[in-house]
Amino acid sequence: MALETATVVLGGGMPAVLEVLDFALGRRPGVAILGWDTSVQGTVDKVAARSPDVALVCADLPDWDGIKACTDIKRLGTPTRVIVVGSEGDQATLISAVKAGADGYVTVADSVDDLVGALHQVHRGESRVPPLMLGSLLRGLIELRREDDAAVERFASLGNREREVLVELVAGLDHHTIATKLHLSPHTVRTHSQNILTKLGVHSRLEAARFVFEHDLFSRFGIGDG
Amino acid sequence: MHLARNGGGPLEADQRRILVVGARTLYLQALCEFLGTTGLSVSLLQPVKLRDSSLGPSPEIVLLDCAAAGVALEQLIAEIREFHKGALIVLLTSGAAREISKQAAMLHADDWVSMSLPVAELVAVLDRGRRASAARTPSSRRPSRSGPAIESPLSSLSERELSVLRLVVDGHSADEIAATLGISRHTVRTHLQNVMAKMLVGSRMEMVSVARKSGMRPAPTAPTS
Repeated sequence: MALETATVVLGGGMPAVLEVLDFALGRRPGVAILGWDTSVQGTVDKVAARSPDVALVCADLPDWDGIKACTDIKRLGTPTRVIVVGSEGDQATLISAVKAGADGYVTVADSVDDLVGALHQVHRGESRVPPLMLGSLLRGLIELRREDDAAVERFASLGNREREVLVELVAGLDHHTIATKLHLSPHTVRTHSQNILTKLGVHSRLEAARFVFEHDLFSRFGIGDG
Repeated sequence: MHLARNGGGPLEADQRRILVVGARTLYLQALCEFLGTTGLSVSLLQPVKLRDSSLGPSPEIVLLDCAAAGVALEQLIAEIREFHKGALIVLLTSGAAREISKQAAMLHADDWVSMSLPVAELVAVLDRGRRASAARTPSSRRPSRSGPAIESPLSSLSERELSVLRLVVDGHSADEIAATLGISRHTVRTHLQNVMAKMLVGSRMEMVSVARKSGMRPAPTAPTS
């Protein structure tokens, strides 16, 4: 059965890596390389301009953010599928890739023919994760979900006044300014903020801010400043 | 281990054998396929299989991927030296130039090349390695690279910094160096701090070690033999 040719754009921070991949993939039947780029923006631009079936982005090379490339390509809203190349057994990158919308994941320990198989698989509309990493991926995603549920639960335990104080804390106001703004005494603000940190299970207002943004808590609880 | 020329005829001597060692199969396999078209005999080997490869003919060049997962580079280099005596060891890296040159010098590799350069550059380094291999003497084992892209750890040092470093390598104390060069002790200290920063080393011991491995010798009055 003849394979339908998959057109591909490559992205990664190392010219030599892309050149040899271009060469090795290009000589295999069923694959046509439309171009490659060593910058994230350049890769995204090439994908936008050439509409390949698949974009292959490396996420294991220094000074190059393959996950960002994946995210940006997916944001284009075009049908291009994305395969992320990551280190062997690098579960964190795999989870980031899946969260960024990747359709497939290949490790650098795979062979060129494995990659070709993955290209065709995602081109057909399937997903591709190395079988050995599938278990840990699912566990990781479940774990993330659990953490997220716990975060929501903790936030829900904050009182209305505490939520108001938290919004100002995250905005970077000091206790005195918050007190004036909310018509409270600075002492009360301090008590509120201590209780907030305890309830959220964090140790500083900076950590509280990270916690809020990481789990997108304000918008999920309908607290907006806009 | 000198199987390369034991009666294989002229073809055998002509065989340009490169052994690529590393765990990043995807990139290295693609690299091997590419190099294969340039008239080289290239084979790819997992680091853990290095021991088994000693039975075959020794390669002219071993291209060792620094991202060799899970195995210490030093140990790999020692194994290559043991199993493939006479082979040039070229490190394949993806880091920044200064970091690489230091690493290569520390590890006693013969040369290095970065994946962040175009692949033509990589082929050029291997070619140079082959020529060096043909004219190789036992004492010539040091980085031979002189191109503009990758420098010696010492190349960014000023003349003054080099002379201070040379005196340290020679075993002089800060006071002696100050007296010799006619500068204050404090200035010597500042020079050395700058030298250490430029060489990316964390201690004076490491500084001397890297300097020596980069080819700096104690300033002798008589030539060593």
